[in-house]
Amino acid sequence: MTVFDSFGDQKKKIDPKWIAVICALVLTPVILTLVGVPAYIAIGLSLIGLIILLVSSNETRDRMRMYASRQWREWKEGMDSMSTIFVLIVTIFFFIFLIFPLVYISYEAFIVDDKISFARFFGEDYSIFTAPDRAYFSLDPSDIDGEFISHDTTGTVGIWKISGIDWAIINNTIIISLGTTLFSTILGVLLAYIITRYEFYGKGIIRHLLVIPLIIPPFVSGVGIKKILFSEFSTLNLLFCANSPSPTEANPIFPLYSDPIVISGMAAVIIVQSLHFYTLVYLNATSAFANIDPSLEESAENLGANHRTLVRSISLPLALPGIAAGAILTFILSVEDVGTPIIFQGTGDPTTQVDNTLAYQIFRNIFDTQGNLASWALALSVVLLVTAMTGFLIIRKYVGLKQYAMLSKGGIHNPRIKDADVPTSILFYAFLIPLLAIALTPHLGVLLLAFGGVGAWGAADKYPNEFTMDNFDYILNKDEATRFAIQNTLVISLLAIILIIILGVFAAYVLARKSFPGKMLLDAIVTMPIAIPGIVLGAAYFYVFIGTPLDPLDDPLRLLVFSFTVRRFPFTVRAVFAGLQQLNIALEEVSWNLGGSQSKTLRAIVLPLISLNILAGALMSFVYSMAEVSTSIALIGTSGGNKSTIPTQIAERFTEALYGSENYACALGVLLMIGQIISIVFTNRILKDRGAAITGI
Amino acid sequence: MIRINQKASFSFVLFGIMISLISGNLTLLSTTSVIAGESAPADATINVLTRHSSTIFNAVELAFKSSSYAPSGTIDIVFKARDAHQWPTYIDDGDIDLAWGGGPTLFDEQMERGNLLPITQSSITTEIASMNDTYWQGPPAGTIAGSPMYRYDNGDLMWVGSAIASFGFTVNSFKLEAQGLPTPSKWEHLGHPIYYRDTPAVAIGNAPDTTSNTRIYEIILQKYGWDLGWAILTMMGGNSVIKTGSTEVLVAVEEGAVSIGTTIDFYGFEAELKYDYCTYVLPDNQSIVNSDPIAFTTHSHNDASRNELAEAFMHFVLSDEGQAALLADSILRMPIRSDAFATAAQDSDKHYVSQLEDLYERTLNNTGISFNDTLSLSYQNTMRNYQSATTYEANTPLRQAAKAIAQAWNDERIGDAQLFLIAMDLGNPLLTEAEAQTMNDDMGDDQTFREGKVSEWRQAATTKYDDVRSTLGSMTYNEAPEGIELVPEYNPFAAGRGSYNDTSDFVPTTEEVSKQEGAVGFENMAALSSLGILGAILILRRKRRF
Repeated sequence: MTVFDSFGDQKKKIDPKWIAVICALVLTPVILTLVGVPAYIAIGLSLIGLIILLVSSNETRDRMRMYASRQWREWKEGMDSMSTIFVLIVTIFFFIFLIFPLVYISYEAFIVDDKISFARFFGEDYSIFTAPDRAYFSLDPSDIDGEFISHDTTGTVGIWKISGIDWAIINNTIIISLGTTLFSTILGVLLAYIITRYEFYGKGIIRHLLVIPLIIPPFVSGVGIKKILFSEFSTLNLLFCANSPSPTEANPIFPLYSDPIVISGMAAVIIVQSLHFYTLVYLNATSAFANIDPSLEESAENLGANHRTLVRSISLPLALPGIAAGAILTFILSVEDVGTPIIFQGTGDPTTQVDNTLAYQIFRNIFDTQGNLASWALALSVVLLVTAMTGFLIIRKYVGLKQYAMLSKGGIHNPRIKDADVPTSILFYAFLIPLLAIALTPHLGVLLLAFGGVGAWGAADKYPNEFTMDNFDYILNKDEATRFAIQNTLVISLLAIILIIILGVFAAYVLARKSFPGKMLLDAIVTMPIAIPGIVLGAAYFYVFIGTPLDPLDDPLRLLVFSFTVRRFPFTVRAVFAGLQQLNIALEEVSWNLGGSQSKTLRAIVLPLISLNILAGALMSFVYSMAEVSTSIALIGTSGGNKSTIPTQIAERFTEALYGSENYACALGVLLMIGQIISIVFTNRILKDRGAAITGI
Repeated sequence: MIRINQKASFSFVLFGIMISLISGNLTLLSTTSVIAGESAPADATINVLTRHSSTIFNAVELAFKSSSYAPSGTIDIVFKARDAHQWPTYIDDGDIDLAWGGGPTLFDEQMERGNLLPITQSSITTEIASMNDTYWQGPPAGTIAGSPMYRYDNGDLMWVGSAIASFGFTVNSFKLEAQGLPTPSKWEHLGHPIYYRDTPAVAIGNAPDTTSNTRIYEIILQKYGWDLGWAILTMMGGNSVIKTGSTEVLVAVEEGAVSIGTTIDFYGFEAELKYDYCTYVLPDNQSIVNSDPIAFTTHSHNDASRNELAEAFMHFVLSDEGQAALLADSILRMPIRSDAFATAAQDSDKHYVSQLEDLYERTLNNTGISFNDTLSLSYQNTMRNYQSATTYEANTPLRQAAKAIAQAWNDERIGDAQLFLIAMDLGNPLLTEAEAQTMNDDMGDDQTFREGKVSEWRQAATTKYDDVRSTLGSMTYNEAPEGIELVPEYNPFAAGRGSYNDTSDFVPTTEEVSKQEGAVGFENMAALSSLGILGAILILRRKRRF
């Protein structure tokens, strides 16, 4: 099911006359702007022209009238007035806070000096696809600088550097995202297969530990992993490097390799993102593997398939839609991730490789010019938006396929779970324990810094040499900014959740219970935010809302209520939708028969029965609202002071370099994690096994 | 009828919620503590525009409220931490009372725009007059180490310094040792090929992103003049990783990613206080003192209690007590009055005050540059963007050129004289100082112009760096080319090979050499992983048999 399916029935042979009309429609505004007409007037005039053209021809007028009356009939058949109001409210809201800003920023990207132009994309100087020095996009391998692994011998102590390459902004982004997707998918699928198909000692704990990386405090997570694994003076190097970089801890416990290993740049970004996003593939793949009809696998075995053939030709293909959905979601989130590049900015060899990524460039250039993105950054926003939307369209196709695959089975099966024998278990432990150790390193690092004394974890220390509660004491009792940040985050998230619940129930109700023209479109619009790069949405809000009562310069927090609502909407809609699907419509029909009105039925029958789903969905929206980074950082920046949220306050401390600020940022990160974990445990209690709501897919 | 009413009221309530949200009635979100009930006459809330971080202004606000300077009644101070380019917008809005922190350049700019009010309040002028210090004298001379602490406009006092800052570099002694580098003592050292390492030894800031690093580049440009200044800055860029913020520079030093970072003094001192392997170095007679001003801004209200509160806050910031508050470990700002150290020393938490006072004295005795604010302001926009285009955006070709220069230097294919010429070639500015001044306004205001120039410079710089690299490859001369006479004092790199090789730090100790020779290599790692692979194969094979 794609967004376009609802229009599929109109596919007819296109009259060449209409091609000419469309060409004229595109060319007219371009020509008009060339003679000095402002772009929006030019576009408006062309549209009016088109309407006049359509109305003047009898044939098209009749066709339009027929089309309109058919749609209207369908609408009247499928909808009552309450549902109409619901659709209107949701549509208006999403138009104001999602569609219009995105369309507007895309429109701006094609306007140069009040004229419609492709100069930002294919012009002479600093256009992104044809700039002479190919800084934005390149197909020429000779533009590649650097190598993935190199050995620096210019110092007294040599360094093994694992970093990445610097090609061009779009190229770097794609390399990072593909790398992240590849690693996340391999990890996620392997883990899902092991967990769904084998029983072994300690599986229960491991299964829980595996999803912890889903909750990771922004910004500070990088500090911990740098100190433990990535930097020259990392705990890893201090423990295992023969040529210890530290003069005070010259003797490593067990020398494994000669020179310190430094992981930076692209490699660091890919590792950190993979350790975070593999959970998405893992969760999707787990449900995909669990849903495979065991009889299919049994038939294959009966026909003589060995284990390898079975996995290759039965299990994997059947699970593929689920895996692909997780992988594409990973790709989208990796492309739009701005937090990780901020941490690893200026690292690697060449040092500009992480700076040269789409999300980071857009982030940097929002602040340069007070709400006016640099013109090429505008074009980059459009590229980022198109990339993410393409992924979203593919993902919807695969979700459709997944539903089809599930139809072919039927009922719930006893999954095929084997007891792993001792050697297999040992193999699993050998894979799972190091993986978990690495995946939980960011959390460990944040905890060590949060409870470590200020300055207690220096370059030569394997771990903090002093533990204390002072950092928490400071942020909670001695510093106002944290209290404001917590208060702001809670208030904004709560207000957003109220809006999400109201609008989410509206949307889920009409999507689950009604059929009307444009339903697929509404479905697409309310699911889409999961794929919209927050940084682009934040930039677009700057363009659209400056000078309105929601002016972000005045108070970015007001606007955040709406950006949180839009961005975290899909979690709730999906959960409520699932609840409505499970709810037998007969219950509602009984109410109508007894004379209950539509709204009374909704209030007295439906809402109480799906309240658990609403609560669970709202809690997931809440968990992710608290940790929202990209629009917050776009609208607030890293110096919000008392007008910040928890994530931007973490970013602010992280970037202020005052005494203890790093530790305080981590302490705040720990508080955020605790808040999120409580909400998730609570949600899981309510949702039990319906974990799909977590990913919103 | 009933149904319609219900529906209507339902949607009405909904729209009500949405409209109230949109119209911005979210008083809950306001940072000011909302006071219920009628306000007493002395109650006041002022807005302060600031470049300080929340840690600083929250700490000072707290100290102010508990001091005797705070007027009675319910008072509140709302700090608006905004980027420098947003300041005029906010002041024009008419609701800002004070501006605090951000450097003299920013305040001069506001003064020229007519955004500042003269300071005439007697409490403040008396306080200032009473400040006669060992290091500086009160107005109208009013300078600390040559840097003005006040600005007068037509005889009116427009802004006062509230703290001072100096500029230098923070070094990590562990990393210096690991990279085999001597501790630098002058700005130009950071550009010398001695400091080139494949993993950059130096971190500097991208000028548009950091005011402190911008000031450092301005110091270098004023000390050495436009052409030689850019030669040094470009060579520095070749040895450096460019960070997009001053904090990132400091963090890179603290975590040992680089050996040296260019920082403002309190960043360096924060690192010293945290880690004993970090040291803040003041370049020998090459620093300046910058004041961090406070001023009244023009505003549209005429509220006596607000004006009184603004006056009281400024008075506090300039007082002995307020100055001592700046010495808290979360702030570490150098005061404008040295009696603040004595006051702060009474506080047992501030055990580091004597160290700070020592640094204060060193700073004030170590300035060697008469800095011209007007000059730096005249080309600032151009300079920042030019630095960014030629060193940050073109960093990769620049690093490659620096590597080639370092190789030529280490192979002794070039000497001091050639190095100087190569540096002048590499850094040869693509525009003159006068041109930079002419285009300064357009660089600030005209986005299209700025982007065009930055793109042009980036491309031209890349070509220039590649050219230098290719000529270096064939360069074998060891003497100064004919026709060029070098004045030794004028060559900042002249002290080069000789003096660096004398530095005992630079020669690896015997212990280090033996450590390298006895390197274990990857044998253990290889042995361990082959064992693992063997085990895995065994297990898998066994499994298949089942």
